[in-house]
Amino acid sequence: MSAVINVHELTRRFELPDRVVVAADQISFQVNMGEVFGLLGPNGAGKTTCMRMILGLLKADSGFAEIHGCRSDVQPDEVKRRVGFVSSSAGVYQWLTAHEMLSFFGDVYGMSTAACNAAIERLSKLLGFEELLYRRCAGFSTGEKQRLNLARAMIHDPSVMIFDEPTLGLDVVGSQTIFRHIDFLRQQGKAVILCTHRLEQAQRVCDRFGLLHQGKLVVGGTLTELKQRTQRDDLVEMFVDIIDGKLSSTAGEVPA
Amino acid sequence: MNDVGEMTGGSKYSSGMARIWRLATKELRETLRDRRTISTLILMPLLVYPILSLVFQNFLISSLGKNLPRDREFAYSFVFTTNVSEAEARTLLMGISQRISSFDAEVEKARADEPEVWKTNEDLDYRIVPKPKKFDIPLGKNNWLYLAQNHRENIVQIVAQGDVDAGVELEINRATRRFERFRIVERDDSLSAEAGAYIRNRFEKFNRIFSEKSLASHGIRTPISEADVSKIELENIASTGGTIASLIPLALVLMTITGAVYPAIDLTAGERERGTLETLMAAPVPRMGILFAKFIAVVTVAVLTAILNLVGMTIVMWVFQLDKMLPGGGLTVGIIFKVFLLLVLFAAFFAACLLMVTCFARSFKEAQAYLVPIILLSLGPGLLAMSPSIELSGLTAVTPMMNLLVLARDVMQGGVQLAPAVIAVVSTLVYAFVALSIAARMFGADSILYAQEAGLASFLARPRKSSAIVPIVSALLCLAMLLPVNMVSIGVLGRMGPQLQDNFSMFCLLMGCFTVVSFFAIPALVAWINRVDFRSGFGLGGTSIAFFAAAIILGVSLWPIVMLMVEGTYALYGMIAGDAASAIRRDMLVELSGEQVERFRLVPPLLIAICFSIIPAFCEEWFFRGMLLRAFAKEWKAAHAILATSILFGVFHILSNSAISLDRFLPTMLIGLLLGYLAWKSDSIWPGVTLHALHNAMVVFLGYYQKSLSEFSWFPAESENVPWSWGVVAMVIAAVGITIIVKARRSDSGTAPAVQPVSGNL
Repeated sequence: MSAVINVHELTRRFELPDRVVVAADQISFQVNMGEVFGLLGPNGAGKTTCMRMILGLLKADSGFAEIHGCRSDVQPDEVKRRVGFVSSSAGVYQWLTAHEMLSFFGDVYGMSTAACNAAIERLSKLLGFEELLYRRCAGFSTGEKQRLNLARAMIHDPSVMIFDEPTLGLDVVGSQTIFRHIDFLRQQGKAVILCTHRLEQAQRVCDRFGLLHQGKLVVGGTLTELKQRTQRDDLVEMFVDIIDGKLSSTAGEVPA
Repeated sequence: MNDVGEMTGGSKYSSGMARIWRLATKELRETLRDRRTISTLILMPLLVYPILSLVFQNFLISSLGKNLPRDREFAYSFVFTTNVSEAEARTLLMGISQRISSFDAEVEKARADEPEVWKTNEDLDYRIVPKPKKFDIPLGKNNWLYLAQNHRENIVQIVAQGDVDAGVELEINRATRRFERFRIVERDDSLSAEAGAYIRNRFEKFNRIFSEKSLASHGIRTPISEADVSKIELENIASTGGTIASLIPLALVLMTITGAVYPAIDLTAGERERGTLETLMAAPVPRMGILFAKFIAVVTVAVLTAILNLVGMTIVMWVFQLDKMLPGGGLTVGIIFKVFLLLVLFAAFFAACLLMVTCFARSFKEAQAYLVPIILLSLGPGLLAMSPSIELSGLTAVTPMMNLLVLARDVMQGGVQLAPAVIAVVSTLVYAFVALSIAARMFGADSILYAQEAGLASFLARPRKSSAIVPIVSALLCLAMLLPVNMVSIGVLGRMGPQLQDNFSMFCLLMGCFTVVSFFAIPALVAWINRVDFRSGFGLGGTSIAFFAAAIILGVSLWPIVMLMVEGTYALYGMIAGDAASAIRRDMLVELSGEQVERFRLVPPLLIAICFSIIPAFCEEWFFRGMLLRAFAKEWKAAHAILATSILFGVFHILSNSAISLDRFLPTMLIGLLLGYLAWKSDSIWPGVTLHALHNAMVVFLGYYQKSLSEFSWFPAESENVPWSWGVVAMVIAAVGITIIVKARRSDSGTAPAVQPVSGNL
């Protein structure tokens, strides 16, 4: 099995007026097709920075990320074309209808009108927002917006999906929809990276995990591997240990 | 299956500009659906130009005095009486008029055609023109009213009332045709004095011609010939027009800025704030492409604003006849088109500058904070460009903003020099390109990382439910719409006035129609759009009979107070501006109302009652105390709401007479306060309508029946003031009325009041 996503020693510092923050410190991991990788960590651990570097939105100080062999710092457009990106902060165009917004993104990804309309029909059925298609986004609920964003990210049928806190602000049902969909993506053979706080759900949906703390990948592997290394039964306890500093980054490399 | 990106990637080179245009279409669609864009786009021009034109008009009246273009058919109006028949007298007068005219024509012929001379030196530009011949209006061109000999004692009264400019009494010897006695009756004001001097001058001139001719028949010539007077006109006189020519582009430019600012912020910082920018950046589009699309969108909105502003300006210039003041000879399609092209250029330049600034901002608020100083800064060159001495050359031609403003001024004045104009245009294009490049570097840079999350959702509420009261925003929008509609109505009436001189009834009806459209129809439409229940939204419910009693008492008692107050305003104006200025101002008003009074006495009283009392009373109450007061009172304290509506009521009445009737503000505002209190206390507009209608009727019919009323010795003549004692009596009666309002309670039988009479109402 070949790795679709290859992250190699990604490092990024931010110079603030009073201090230097190392948001990502030599982060490395790989994600295969049909695999969901959970990038977990407390707030400010560097997850979002990491995602943005993988997408090529942010330049790395050192290290690189590859999607299908394309480096995001060299060929950012090639990378973006292959990735669908959903983040909690993703907004919608309030004055456009859902259909207009999706068509716009289809156009941005270079799709033909026919292909785009077909994709919109398929995705709206899949995500259950057909009745919202011709309404302006301003009136959408958080859940509806997030479903629309999910459709937007998949309009060009990417082979890689990146989710950055996709369930932030969603209720149980909303989160359930997202996680069920991530499961569906795995079955479709996509490579998925998921950053989240919802540890129980992450535990259920992810195949492998990377636990981030202060920009460092502290520990990684499948749930079984993590349990072995940390001597803890679930992710929540591991998390607490990370924050308390009981786990150090030397605990292990994330295997491919 | 896994790598669909490879398949879709094929079309990436095929688009280019087409894709940028599609991106821009999306940006435009988003911007133009936004209410805030629409408000700057449409409301600003509707508001600004009428206000600007008011400023101009007042400015022109004060600086040019009586040189304003007048649409008067007659020079002066006279009442005359004579011992011979009317026909005989008129024939004699016409004869005199013709003799003078033919004599003048001979002199004119004899005189060599002297061209207008322009002289320019360093300090002073001036020209020499023959002095306008103030007295050269032929006698026949005046309005001569004949008064039968047996009514000759009325001549004084007719003149005093201001119905005519002066009176002339002629005693003609039938046999010799000599004017044995010739008496002129003047009022103590400048217009009347002018009319008197005119008549004297004409008759003296006739005498002189007579004597010169009879002497000439004996071969004798008068020792001194008539003087040729030349007048030196300084450039200053033309500069009034020059001021307009430079102020109009500045206004247009500022409006274009206003149009561009909101989309520029919203499409950059706004998008960042809403979180759509990151998603867009995550898609395979080049930064420059996105930015260029945004640039196109901002320019388009700015140009749309410019077009609407140009249209607004052109209408206002036409309506207020400001175009006639332009030195170049008025607005032509060519000039408007050139000014439009300059505005497009300016829009492109400023949009680029705005994007450059807003790309630095992480949030809407931050962008606004950056832009305020930029806009203030751009006012500097803008104001400098207003100086008439500034020419388009060298530094001026390359100073951003200033170059286009000066160029626009020159275009409007009709004197453009090619070379500096090209420099101005090219340099502006360069600045635009530079600004856009900087913006492209900044746009979507790493700074998106620390974007703040601030909700704009509060702006997006779109009320679709029916409600009891018109929302305050809609009421204000309605107000904003009424102002220009009102101004244009006044302008149309002003232009139609001279044509409808003989049919003043038609004029009154037209006025009534305008009142209905502005103060009834538009508010009704706004309420309907907002799904407001008319009964609650306009206060159409019934109320206690006591309020009606109070309204009747006040309606008949307020007029002496108002009239005294207007007199007081003159006195005050005299103290501030000097007695002479006050007198001139007053004369202008007297002249205006004098003409009106004469004409409106020909209109049937029923029509007067409908057009001056019932329609204005109902429509104005409908809007001011119905919609506006209720909308305000829902959000503010009742006292503030009443005060605000009464001020607006006062402001509208300054506008609705002419640009100069500031004198009406105070009394109207005070009546507005009273009407507001009455409407709020009674929770109904009907008592207010009663009061308003009665008051208007009192004022109007006192003028209408002035002649008959003046026959009573105790009634003041038209030129006299209302006695103070009347004011005191009126105040006592009014106090009774107000006490009734204070004491009265609403009838309980009515529906629950929509506006609660609680002072702390929020």
